[in-house]
Amino acid sequence: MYDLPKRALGPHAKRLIFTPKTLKVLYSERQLKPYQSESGGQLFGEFANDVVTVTTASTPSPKDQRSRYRFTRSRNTEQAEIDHEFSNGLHYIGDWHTHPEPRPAPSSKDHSGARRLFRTSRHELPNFLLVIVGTSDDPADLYVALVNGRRLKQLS
Amino acid sequence: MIDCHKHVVAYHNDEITLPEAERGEMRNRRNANRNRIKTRLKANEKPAPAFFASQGSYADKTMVQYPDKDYDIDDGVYFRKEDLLGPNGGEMTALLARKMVFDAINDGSFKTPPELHTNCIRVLYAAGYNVDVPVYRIVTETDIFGNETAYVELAGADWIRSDARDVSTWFDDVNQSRSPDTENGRQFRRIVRDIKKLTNSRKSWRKRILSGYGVTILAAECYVPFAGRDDYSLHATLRAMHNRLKFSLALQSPVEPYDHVADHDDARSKYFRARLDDLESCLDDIAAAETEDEALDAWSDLYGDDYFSDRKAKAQTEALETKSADGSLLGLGLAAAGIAAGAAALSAARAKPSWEPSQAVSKGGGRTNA
Repeated sequence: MYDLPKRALGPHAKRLIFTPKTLKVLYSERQLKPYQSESGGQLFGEFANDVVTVTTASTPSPKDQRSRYRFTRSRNTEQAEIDHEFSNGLHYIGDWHTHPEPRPAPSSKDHSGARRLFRTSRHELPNFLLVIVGTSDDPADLYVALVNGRRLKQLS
Repeated sequence: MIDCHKHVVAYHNDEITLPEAERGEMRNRRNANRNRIKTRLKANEKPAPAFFASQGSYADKTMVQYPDKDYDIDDGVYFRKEDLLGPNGGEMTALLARKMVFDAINDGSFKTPPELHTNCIRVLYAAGYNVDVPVYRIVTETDIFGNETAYVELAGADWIRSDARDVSTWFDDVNQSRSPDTENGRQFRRIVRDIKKLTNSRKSWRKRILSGYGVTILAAECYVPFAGRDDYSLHATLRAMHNRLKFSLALQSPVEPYDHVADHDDARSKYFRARLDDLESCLDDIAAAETEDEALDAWSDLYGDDYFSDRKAKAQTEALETKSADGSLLGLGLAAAGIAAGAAALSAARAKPSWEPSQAVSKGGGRTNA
């Protein structure tokens, strides 16, 4: 569970929670072997009372381009996922991907890409989430940040 | 509890009841469909329907406004059993009867072809709404004394004894026998609409929450009438519904064949109960409010709609304008600005039960993670 700064994810959100199911998906995609490519996807969740709950993490599709240090998702697949989840009442909250390091930190490309994504998307959110999953399975090592058009703010 | 009857009724009249123009539009679509069925059945040399009858929330007049206007109408087509003959002169099966009506509707003019469902034919319109047409047969029997009785069967997987008109009759009975008034559709109907609006007040709830029919059955069971106080009646009915769902999630149709609308573990009932859990604090706030302003804020929180709070600001401005009619214009301006700022601060301080984006995110620009 993470405490959220004021108005970070909507006017009333105070806490951010990942469901065990979501964490399981994230950890199952860790790059533990040298031959494993970077993985990632989108995060979807619910806004209820003062809690934002990340209930679903999508995983790579065959259309995504993956290598050990690079991961590019198909924009069409992403939008189809967003529309599908929205019709089920779940909202896109952000993106996640893996890094082959125990305590991951965003690269400069992660920084600029995330800020550009926020600026060029049509949405009503004050921030998106950026989650980076390292090789550690300790939740404390998960990199969780709020992203807007200007900066990244780490929550963990 | 602070009397907010006039505000709750205003919300009902302005934001919940379907405007007459939209009802008229729906009526036109329904009639066009009826004409198509009659004409095409005749052209196909099939039996003529005995009559048509609207059902569901359209017939009960409990449809509520949705921003997307994706309303569904149920319009049953009724045949006499003796008219429905199969290819060899025997009794027409339920499937053949549905197919016959499906063929009549499917004249090739629809962008999205109609769908043949187990209990109806669904006609889909590009604008997002649909018309469901269930097919019925009227069975007339004569007993040994020569007395005629008639009942109705629905063309489902087989012919099943069921007539959705019974629901409308039941609804009218409850509305007339239990409402303390006779105006504006009577109180029970208004409360059902208010609650249906609440169940659809957050877009993400719509597909997961108890159906309109389920809400109506539960509301009838839990309704607390109160003459001249829709706010009190709605509040007490919601509390009673919440308690009832804590006790049991199961719901049974009040008319033949008395189907289970929800069983004891029903996901939609459970979802409704969870949302009522969330809204409990708003109901508490409504009950505990000491001023009309506080109560209006709490009603706004309940519905996730600024309608009530906006009425508060409007009422303040009106009061101020009346009060300042003999005061200076400058004084009026400053005071109004102060009140507006105060109202904005109050509104910001209020914790709404939930906020969520109203539209799906549309992702822009390419992105590569590294």
